[in-house]
This record gives sequence, C-alpha cells and structure tokens, in this order.
Amino acid sequence: MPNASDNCPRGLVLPGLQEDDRRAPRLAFLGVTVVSGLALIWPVYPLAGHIRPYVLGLPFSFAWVVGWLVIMFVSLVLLYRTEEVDDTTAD
Amino acid sequence: MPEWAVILLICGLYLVVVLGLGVWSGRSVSASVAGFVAGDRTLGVVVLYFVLGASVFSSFAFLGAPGWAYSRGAAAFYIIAYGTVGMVPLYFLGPRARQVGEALGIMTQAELLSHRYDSRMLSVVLAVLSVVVFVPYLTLQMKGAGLLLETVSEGRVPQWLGALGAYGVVLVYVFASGMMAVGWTNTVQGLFMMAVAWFLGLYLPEALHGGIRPMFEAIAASGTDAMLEAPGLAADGSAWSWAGYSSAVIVSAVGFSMWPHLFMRAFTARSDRTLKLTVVLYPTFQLFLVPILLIGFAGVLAFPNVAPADTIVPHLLTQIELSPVLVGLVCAGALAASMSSGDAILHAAASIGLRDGIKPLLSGTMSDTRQRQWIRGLVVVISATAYYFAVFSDVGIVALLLGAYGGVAQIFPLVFAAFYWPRATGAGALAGLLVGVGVNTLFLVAPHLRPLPLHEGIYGLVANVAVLGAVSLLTPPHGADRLAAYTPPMARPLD
Repeated sequence: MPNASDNCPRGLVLPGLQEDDRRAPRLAFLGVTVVSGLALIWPVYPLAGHIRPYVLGLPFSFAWVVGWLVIMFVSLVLLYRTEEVDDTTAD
Repeated sequence: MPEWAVILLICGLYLVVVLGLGVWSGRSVSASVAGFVAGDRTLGVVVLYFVLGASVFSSFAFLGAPGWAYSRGAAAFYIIAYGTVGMVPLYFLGPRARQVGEALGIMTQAELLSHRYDSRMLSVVLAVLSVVVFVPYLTLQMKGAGLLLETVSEGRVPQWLGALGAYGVVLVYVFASGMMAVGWTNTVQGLFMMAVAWFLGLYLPEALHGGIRPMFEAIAASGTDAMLEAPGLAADGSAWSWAGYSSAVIVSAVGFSMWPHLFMRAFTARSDRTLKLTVVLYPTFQLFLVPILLIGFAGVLAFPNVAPADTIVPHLLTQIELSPVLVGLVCAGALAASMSSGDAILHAAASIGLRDGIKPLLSGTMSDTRQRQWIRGLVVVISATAYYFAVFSDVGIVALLLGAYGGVAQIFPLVFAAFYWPRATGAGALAGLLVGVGVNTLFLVAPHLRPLPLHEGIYGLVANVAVLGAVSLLTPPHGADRLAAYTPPMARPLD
C-alpha cells in the first residue's frame, strides 16, 4: 500500500470546476452568488438602503433585498438548466 | 356560537386533520431505521420543498418576524437577506452528501462527518451540540403554540393546555410515522401557512392604511422614517450598526444550510436531481417573508406601543374586524408554522441523539428494531423535556437560541472540507469545531471583549478555519480508500 500522504493533494479539490463543460456556468453562477451576497451587506447595501424611490409599493431598502432574492432564484434556475441533461440518468 | 368557540373549533379540526395525515403517511415506508429516519430515501421534489421550507419557518415566522418589522423596521430585512444565498451551498454539497449516504448507509450530518474524519468523538460532540440547540428551539415552538391558543381563546385555553394539545398531536405522528409524517404534514402545513401569510400581508395594509405604498408613506411621514432606512433599528430602538448587521447576515447565511435537521434531509431525497431542484425552488418559499413583514409594518402606526413586539400578530387579530372563521384559519396557519418546525426538530433530535450520540458509545451493533425503539423512546423524552421548559421553567431560553446560529455556523468548515479538501483530518476537524464553538460562546457571553462590534460567529469561524487548517496539515492524512467516497472519480489523484 502506498504511503497515503504521498498522493493526498494539499490544496482544495473542486471537481465541479475541473470539468470543462461545467466550469463556465458554475463560475458565472458563483460570481452572481458572491455579488448578491455583497449587495446585501456593507459597503454596498448602504448605497441602496433608502426609502425612495418606492418599487411596487415597497421602500427601496426593502425592494432591493427582495430583488436580489429574485435574481438568485433566476440564476439558480439557469444553472439548473445547464446541468439538467447530465443528471437525467440519476433518476 | 361565541366567536372564541368558532376559532377553537377550526384549530381543533386542523389538529385532527394533521394527526390523521401524519399517522396515515407512515404506511408507505418500510419498518426500518432508514424508513423512520430518512423516509427510505424516496422523497420527491414537492414534499422535500415543503420539508425544507416549513422546517425553517417556525413560530418565529408568525410571531418573531412581524415583531421585528414592527419594532425594528428594516432590521427585519436581514431575515430575507441571509436566506438569499444561505441555501446555495446545499445545491453543491447536498448531492455529494446524498451519494455518500446512499453508498454507506448514512442518515445524519454527524454520521457523515464522523465517517469522513474517522472520529467517533466528533459524532458525539455534534450530537451534544445539536441536542443543546434543539431542546430550546422546540421549547420556543411549544410556547408559541400555547401562547397563540391562549390569546385567541381569551384565556379559556391556558398556555399549558394549548401547548399540550398541539404537541401531543406532533408527538403521536412523529412517534408513529417518523420522517414520512414530517414530510406529509409539512406539505399541508407549508401550503396553509403560505396562504395565510399572503392573505394577511395583503389584507392588513389595505384595511388599515389603504394599500402597501400608502402604509409605508405614512410610516415615513410620521417621524419614524429611520426605521425604514437600512439597516433599521437595534433591539433598544437606536440605529443598528452596519458592522453588526453585515456580520449577522454572513454568519446566518453560512449557518443556514448547516442546521442538522435541514442538512440531514439531503439523505431523504430520491435523487440528486430532486435535491438540486428543491434548492432551486427554495427562494419561492422564502418570498413568503415579504407578506410576513408587511403584517408587522401594518401595526406600526395603527397600534403603537404593543409590548412585547412578538405579540403584534395576535394583537392585530383580536383588534380588527374579521369573521371568526377567518381568524380561526389564521390561527391554524400560525399553529402550522410552529408545528411544522417542531416536528422536524423533534424527529431530528431523536434520530441524531441515537445514531450519533448513543450508538457510537455502545459497543457492538444494534439491530434495526432496537434502534427504532430507542429513537421512539427519545421522541417521548425530548418532547417531555421541552414541554417541561415551556411550561414549568423560567430559564432564559431565547438567549440560548440566539447564540445557536453562531454555533451551527461552525459546522460549515467541516462539511466544506469533507468534500473539497482531502487533506483535512479528524484531529483538525475536531479541534476546529471545538475552538470555533468555544470562541463563539466566549464572545456571546462576554460581548465587551470583542475587538470589533462584529457577530460572535465571525470570530468563531476565523479561529475554526485557522485551527482546522493548521492541525490538519500537522497530522497524517486519511487513507485514500476512506476519502474515495468523498471525491468523485475525475478528481482523484492518479495512481
């Protein structure tokens, strides 16, 4: 038996990002996730956290948060659609 | 018939329906541990969607969250903010966990980690951590249900009796049918609470202020406009700090998918696809917080100075002119919110208590029948303990639960490293978790020691990751055969 420490990689292993056909959509999705996470905390949210303008009756500070929830939903749907084909065999 | 009797009758009918459905649902799965704990790994998208959604939204959704909007304004948006990205890790980690679970017969988060890190100690630590968090969580759900029934019956049903009635039903169906009861009752309860939330959230601003925008404009013009500016108000009514708000969002988002009773649902999914689709659809459930917060805002000008703020919804219900049938349905919806979280927590606490706490400490193997008996025994013991705290004890459990998110977030680095860092070792994981929870607890009980006014969970996470990394690199890695299940074939190093 080979010494386990010889072939154990020291760094992170991210298989989803190593497959060429999955890399682009997954990187794009992770990008949107990071952006929406940052949009909801300091220092981005202070720029949008005001009452006006109202959007669909909600103060802007409220609509901003709901808007990012909707954006995350849309990007999850898009990511899922790019991966759907591979996974049909798993059902 | 007097109004309170109509309301109670509707709540009673609701309890009977849920009880029947819960007990009936268990007939379709095998009488095995996998059937009781993981529903034989057969859950589809619809049931899984409501299990994840309804387990998250507890009596906090109908009492606490409107109370936040009512008293702290924009601070309540924090609850939507962390859920926006909080479920995303489950899209990637969930299917991996599910595959390992199916291959190795794993049914809980702690079992997964204790196998990956080859550490029984880790499993016991996680079991203790889970139960310490779950009992107060369940206690709060019981208190919420009891308080609600007491308020709407005008004191005719005391809190102890209301809590006993609602949680007697939960005890019976979880005892009888395990995971399937949680799944099917949460589906009905989830639909019901969503319908009630949207109805009230749109109706109340209309009835009290003539619409949603007029309501917010009135609040903005009333001199309390600061509450609508992010990040809202702190608990004492002063402006909440950006550091406090932002770090609370981060810690909650990191911890969100790590709650043991949520994470273990990955093992109930029928396929990877089911699990991914559930996570994809999850934000549509999250949207139901919008009407929930509108309910709280509706009370700001109409009924000022309601204290404590948590009682704003029962207060609104008793003050506005609504047919008793509608009030009854709303109360049943709020009961649904409490019970759909309570049952999931009770089921998880008993399953984790046995599989991760008791079983690893006993020598030898345990038969399937014996495990089921143990879990059912724990269902009764945990219910009774939580009921004791809910009714007879005055221990400050809210504070304990507030600290829980920081503690639960400490599990994230371990789960992440389990799948993405082969070099992580058992010693590293255990040390990281203990240090993380320790630092989190220290800054929770001694907030004046914090170097910056950040959420205590942030300090815990930084210490956790540093210790996990350092100790892992100093200890020998696990063998390739143990790691194989956690690393897909493509990513394995070549021999």
